[in-house]
Amino acid sequence: MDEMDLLTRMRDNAPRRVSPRAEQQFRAAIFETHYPERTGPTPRRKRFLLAGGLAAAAVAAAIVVPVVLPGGAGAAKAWAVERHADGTVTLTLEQEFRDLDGLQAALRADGVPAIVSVIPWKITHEDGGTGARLACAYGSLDLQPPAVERAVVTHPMVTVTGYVAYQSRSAQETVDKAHAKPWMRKVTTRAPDQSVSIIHPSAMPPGSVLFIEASAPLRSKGIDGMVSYPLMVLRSDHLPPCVPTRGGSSQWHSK
Amino acid sequence: MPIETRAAADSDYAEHDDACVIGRSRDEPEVFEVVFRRYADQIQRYVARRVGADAADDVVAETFLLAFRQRERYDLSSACARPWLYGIATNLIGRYRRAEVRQYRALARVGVDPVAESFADRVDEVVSASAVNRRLAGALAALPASHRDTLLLVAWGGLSHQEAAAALCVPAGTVRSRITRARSKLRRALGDSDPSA
Repeated sequence: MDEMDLLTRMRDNAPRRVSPRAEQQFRAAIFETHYPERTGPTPRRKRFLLAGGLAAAAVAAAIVVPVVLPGGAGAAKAWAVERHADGTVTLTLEQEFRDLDGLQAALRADGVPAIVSVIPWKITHEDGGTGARLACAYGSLDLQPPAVERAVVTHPMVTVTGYVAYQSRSAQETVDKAHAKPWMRKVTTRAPDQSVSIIHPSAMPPGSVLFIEASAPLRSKGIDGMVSYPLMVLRSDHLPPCVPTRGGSSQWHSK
Repeated sequence: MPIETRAAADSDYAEHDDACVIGRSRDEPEVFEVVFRRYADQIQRYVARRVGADAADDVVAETFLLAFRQRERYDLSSACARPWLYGIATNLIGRYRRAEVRQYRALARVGVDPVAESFADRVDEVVSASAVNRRLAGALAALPASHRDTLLLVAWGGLSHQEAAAALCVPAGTVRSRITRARSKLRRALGDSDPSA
């Protein structure tokens, strides 16, 4: 055995497959290169934003629930409210961030006392990085106990099949089949279950109100924001003022 | 995990050489995925052996991204892209040269290989190196960078001398010369005898 044989055996326990991280980095980079419009206005194709994302964005929100990244103008409507014979109401939130006044009215018309509030984001520059947080926060919401909330709002299991087009450490973005590229990986995953909610008005204690705290999409400085629609149940329709959060630039970003 | 789309992409080009695939990717960028799937495993292994698992992820991703961006400049008369990709990877490893050498020296000095440890399944697993590997590591650390690149493209990348020459953009004679000198130094480090005996 000569020196080349010995050298060939050195570090022979090295992986024989490309690491998922390297693969994902490559795909993300290609995606950024090949689809530069991603950093600009959101393209018209339908996308889903799954999982975490924008950790800093959650700072000021009591509950931040990433749901869907909106499609472009002219996409399907942002929400759907459907009342069933058993008295439950299915609330579907997707794509567009618009006509939330209409959402509030539709819920009320279907027997769900509701308040929909829209909160913008603001950019923060802290700890050497750029982040985002909600521009104001309701610090003292008079909420029903969690058990009541769980009875009023349930989330059916919904799965989504898509093709991974971009993935960072905190978020995964998929496109639907029509827009998939051959190199994209097909995934079937649990959809953000908050995008479809079943409201049980009969479980709402008298006087209580379904509260939807919607945050507008944020797109700035490389942050491709999200829409969040946490659903809460208030004891009454009294809504305290939304107190501006500290820090961040004065520039507010909302649609 | 369903991988129908991958299988379709690979099977579509199974009969095509790399030059054909890269040429096609100039009009259909997503076809470059085929190049990635053909070579990512072996490039990852080569890079990981040199700089460790963590740095390898970045180098591998960047290797293929650079290749993707430079696909217009690829010489379509070269049927096999392997040397080209190894050349890009080796250039990128240059950024980690000091760290690479430091790791060889650490292995030579204390007998624990931080790179091999990065492949270990358990974080607390210590990979003890043999006396032979310690000597090899010391010799690798002492080689000129160009000689080390050439030697390891052949030993760890599995490239032929001709392919290494193409990867490094040097004449084949230069590769032979570097390999001869590097091997001589390794032999001396090993004591000019059969160390495995």
